[in-house]
Amino acid sequence: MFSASSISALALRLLVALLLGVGLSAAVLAEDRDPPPLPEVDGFPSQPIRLIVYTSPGGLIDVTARRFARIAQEVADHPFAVINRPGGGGIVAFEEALREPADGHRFLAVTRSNISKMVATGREDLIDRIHWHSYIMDNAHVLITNKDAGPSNWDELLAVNGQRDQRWLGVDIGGVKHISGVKMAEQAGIDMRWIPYGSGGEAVAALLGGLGTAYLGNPRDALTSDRLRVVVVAAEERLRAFPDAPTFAELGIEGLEDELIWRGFAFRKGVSDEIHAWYSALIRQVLHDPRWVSSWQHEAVNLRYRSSAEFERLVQRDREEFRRYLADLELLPGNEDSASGIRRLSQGTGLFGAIGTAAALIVGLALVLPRHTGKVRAGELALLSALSAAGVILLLMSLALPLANPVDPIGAGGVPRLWIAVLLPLAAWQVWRCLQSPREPEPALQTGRMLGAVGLFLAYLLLIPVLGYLLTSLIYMPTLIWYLGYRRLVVIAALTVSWLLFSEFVFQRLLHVDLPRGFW
Amino acid sequence: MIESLFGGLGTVVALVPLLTIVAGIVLGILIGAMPGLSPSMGVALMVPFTYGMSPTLALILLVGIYIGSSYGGSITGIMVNAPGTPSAVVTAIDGFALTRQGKPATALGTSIVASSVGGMFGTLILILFSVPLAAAAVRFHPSEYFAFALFGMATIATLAGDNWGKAFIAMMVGLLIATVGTDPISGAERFTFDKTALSDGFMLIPALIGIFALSEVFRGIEKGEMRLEKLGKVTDRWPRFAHYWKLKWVTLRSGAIGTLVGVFPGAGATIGSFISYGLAKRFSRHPEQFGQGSPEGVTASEAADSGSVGGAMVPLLALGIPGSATTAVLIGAMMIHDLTPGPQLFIRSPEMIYAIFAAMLVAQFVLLIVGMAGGRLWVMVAHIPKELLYVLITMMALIGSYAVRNSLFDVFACLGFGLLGWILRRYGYPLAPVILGLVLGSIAETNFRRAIMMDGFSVFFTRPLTLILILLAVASFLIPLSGRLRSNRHRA
Repeated sequence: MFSASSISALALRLLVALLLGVGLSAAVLAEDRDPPPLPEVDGFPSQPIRLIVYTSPGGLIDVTARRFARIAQEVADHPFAVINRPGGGGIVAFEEALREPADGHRFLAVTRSNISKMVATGREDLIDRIHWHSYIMDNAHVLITNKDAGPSNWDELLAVNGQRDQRWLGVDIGGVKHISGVKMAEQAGIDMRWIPYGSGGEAVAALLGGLGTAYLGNPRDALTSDRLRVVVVAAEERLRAFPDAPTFAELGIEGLEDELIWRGFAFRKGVSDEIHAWYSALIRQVLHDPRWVSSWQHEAVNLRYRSSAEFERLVQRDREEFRRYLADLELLPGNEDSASGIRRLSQGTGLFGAIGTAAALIVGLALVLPRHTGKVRAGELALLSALSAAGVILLLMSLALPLANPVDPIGAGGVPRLWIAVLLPLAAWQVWRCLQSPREPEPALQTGRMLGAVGLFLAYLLLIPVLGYLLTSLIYMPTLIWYLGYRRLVVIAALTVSWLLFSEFVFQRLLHVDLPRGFW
Repeated sequence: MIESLFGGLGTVVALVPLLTIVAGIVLGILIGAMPGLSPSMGVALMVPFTYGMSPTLALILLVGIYIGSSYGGSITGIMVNAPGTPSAVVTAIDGFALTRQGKPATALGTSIVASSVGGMFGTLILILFSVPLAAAAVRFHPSEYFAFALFGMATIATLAGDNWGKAFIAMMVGLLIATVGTDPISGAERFTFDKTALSDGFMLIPALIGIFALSEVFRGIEKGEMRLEKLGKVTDRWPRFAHYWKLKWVTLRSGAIGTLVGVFPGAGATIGSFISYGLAKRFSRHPEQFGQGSPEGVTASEAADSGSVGGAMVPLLALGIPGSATTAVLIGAMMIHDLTPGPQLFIRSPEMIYAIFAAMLVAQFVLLIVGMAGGRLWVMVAHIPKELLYVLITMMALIGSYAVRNSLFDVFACLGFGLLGWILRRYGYPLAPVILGLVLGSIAETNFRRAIMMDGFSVFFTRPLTLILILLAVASFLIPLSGRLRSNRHRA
C-alpha cells in the first residue's frame, strides 16, 4: 500500500521521535527533580474529581486531559473523570467551573487558545476569575507544506506568487494560530490570506490536496503523514523531530522565537491553599511518571512544569499581545463602525422596537383573524407572520455584523440575508395560497389540554434549579401521568421510581452528568 | 492483503475479542438509542474503560461502539419518532410511518439488515480502496463540498410531498437557525443576544429531540391519542428473506453513497442519508410510498448511515486525519494508547490494522444478530400505554438535552423546538426539511465562503467537478419539482 521510500522516511522519523522522547524525559526530570508526596487535606477529596475540557472529545487538549486523568487517579488513588464542555472556545467550560463551589473537585484543562478567545469575545473577566495553576507543556508553531505539491523550503515558500497572495490554511479567525500566522507573515513580508477550516484535520486534508501554500499548526500534525514537511519553526531552537527545519531566527527573522501553544490546568478562584498544594504535588508526580513522559514521546511537545506565579505572568503577557493584534485585525468587539443610521437601527432600542412591534402584530392577528378566516387558516397565517417577523428582525440584526471585505467578500451577514430573502417571498406566497384555499372544518382538538401539559413541563423545568432534579421529577412524573388520564397508581409509582433510579445510576454516577441538585 | 486479512480474522475470532465486539455493539446500540448520547460521546465515554486493555482490543471495542451507535439512533426514531442521531432523522420519516401503521417489526427488520449490509459494504471499500479514495477526497475544493451540501439540500424536492412551498419554508427555518452562533469565518457572534450558551449555536441533539419527539407528544395529546391506546395495532411479523432481497439494489447503492460521502472529512453521515433517500425515491417503482412508510426509504437511509462508518475510517487510517466527530475521538483514543494514527500504523502495526478491518466485518454480523434479537424487545415499546410513553419521552427529552453539556438552557431550547415542531406539524409543514437545513446550513455556508475566499466567485464555474455537481444538484431539485407541478396542473 505504501512505497518503500515512504516507509524508510517514516521509519527515520519514528527513530528521531523516539530519541526526542528520551531527550524529553531527561529534560523534565532535570527541571523538577523531586516531586513532593501528596499532602493530607482534611475532607478532600470527598467526591470524584472532574477535569473539564473545553472542546469536544478527540482534540489534543482532550487527549492531554485523559492521559493525565488516567495516571492521576492511580497516583491519588481517587477517581478522576474527564468531562467535555465545548462551546464559545472555553467560555462555557469556564462558566461551569465558576458556577460550582470552590471545593477543588473541578478543574479546567486550559490552553493559550482560551486567552485569545476571551479577549476576542470581550470576556476578559473570565481570565481574572480563574487561578492559573500549572503550566505543563507547550509546542512551537510550525509552517507545514505538502511535499509533493508545495514549496520544499523557506526560500521556495517565499517565492510562491512572489510573496503575494499566499493561502495559509489553519483554524479559527482570531485564534492563537491565526495571530501567529499574522506575525510570521508580517515579519517575513509575505502577503498572506488566512483560510480558516473547521478543524486542523480538515485543513491538513486540504493541504494534502494541494489547496494551500502552507498549513500553520503543531509539529505533531506533520508527523501524521509522510507527505508533509516542516519548513520553518517558530522556536528558539530547531526541533529534534525535524532537524532539517530551520528556526525563523536562523533565517534572519527576529521576534518569532516564542510562538507556541501551551497547555495547563486552572481552577476557579477561592480554592484553598491546601488544595492547591495537593494539586501541585499531584501534577508534579504525574509529570514525572514514566508513562506520562513516554506517552508524549512521539508528539513533539516540550514537557515543562511552571508554577502558578510564572503561569499567571505568561497569561497576562499573552492577553496583552492578543489585545494588540486583535485590535489591529479589527476583531475586537465594538470595533465595527456603527455610525450609520441603519446600523444603529439594528441595535439597542431599534431592535427591541422591531421585536415589540412584531409581537404586537402577531398577537393582533391571532385575535382578529379567527373571526374572519376560521381558526385553521388564522393559525397558519399567524405562524407565517411570526416567521416573517423573525426574518425581518434577524435581517435588522445582520446589519450590525462585520461587513463584507476583500478577504471575505460575503461577510458574516451575507448568507443569513440570502436565506431571509428566500423566506420572505415564500412566506408571502404561502399567505396568498392560504387565503385562496377553501375554509376547512375545524378538527376536534384538545389544545387546552396540550397547553396544560406544556405548562406542567415548563413549571418542571423552572423548578429544577430550585428543588433539584430528583425531587422535581418525583413530583412531575406522577402529576403529568395523572393529568393525562392514567390512574393505575402502582404502575405510576413503579415507573417514576425506576426512571429516577435509572437517571441517577446511569447518568449521574456512570456518565458523570451532574444533574441539578437544587438549593436545599 | 488477503493473507493479512485472514491474519486479522485469526486475531478476532477468539473468545475475548468476540465478546469485546458483542459488548461494543450492545453498548453502542444502547448509546445510539438514547437521545442525547451521540456516537462520538459514546465512544469518548468508553475510552477510560479501555485503559487496561491491549491497544488492539481497545480499538475493537471502540469501533464496535461506533458501529452499534450509528445503528442505534434509528431505533428510537422508528419506535417513538425520536431519532437518536441526525442521520436517523431520514430513517424516522418512513420508519415511524411504518410503526404508526402497526408494522414496527418491518421497519426494525429492514433497518437492521440495511444497516448491517451497508456497513459491510463500507468496510469492504475501506479495506480495498482506502488509499486511492483518501487521495481523491483531499483534492476536493471547498466549492465541491458546497456542491455536496447543495446536493443534500436538493432532497427537499423529494421530501416536499404535495406542498413544496411549505417544505421550503421549513428548510429556510432550519437554515436560519443554523446561522445562530459564532460565524466560523469571521469569528463574529451572530444572533446570540449575548448569550454564551448560543455562542456555538443551537445544539443539534436538543433540536432533534424537540422537533421530532416533543412535538409528537404535544400533537398526540392535542389530538387526544390517549386512554390506553397503543402506537398502532401491531399486525406484522419479522420480514422474510424475500423482503430483504427485493431491497438489494437500494441497499448496495445507498451503502456506496454513504461510504463515499463519509470519506470526505467534515461531510458527515447525514448528507449521505439524505442523498441516498432522494435517489432511492427517484429510482423507486413506488415513489408515492416514500414518506408514508416505504421500506425502501428506511433501507436507503440506514445503509448510507452505516456505510459512512467505513468511509469515515478511510482518512483516519490512510492519512491520520478524522473523517467525522467519532473518528476524531478514535484518533484521541489511539493516542491515549500510544498509537500514532495514519499511515505509520500500516508500517508499525499492520496486524493491528487488519485486526480492526476484520473486527469491523465481524461486528456487522454481530450487529445483525444482536439487532434482530433486540428488535423483538424494542417492538414491545408499541405496547406501552401512551400516557406513560409521553411522560417517558418528556423525561428522555430533558435528560438527553441536558446531558449534551450539563445545561438547562439546552432543555429550554428543546422545549422551544418542541413547540416549533408542534405548530409546524399542526399546519402541515414537514419537519425533516428543518433538520436538513439545520445540518447542512453550516456546511454549505462555510464551504461557500471558503471557496470564494480562496478563488473568488468564478470557482463555481471554472472547476469542472464543481460545475457538474452543482448542475446535478439543480437538476435533482428541478426535475421532481417540475414533474409535480405538471401533475398538479394535469389534475387541475
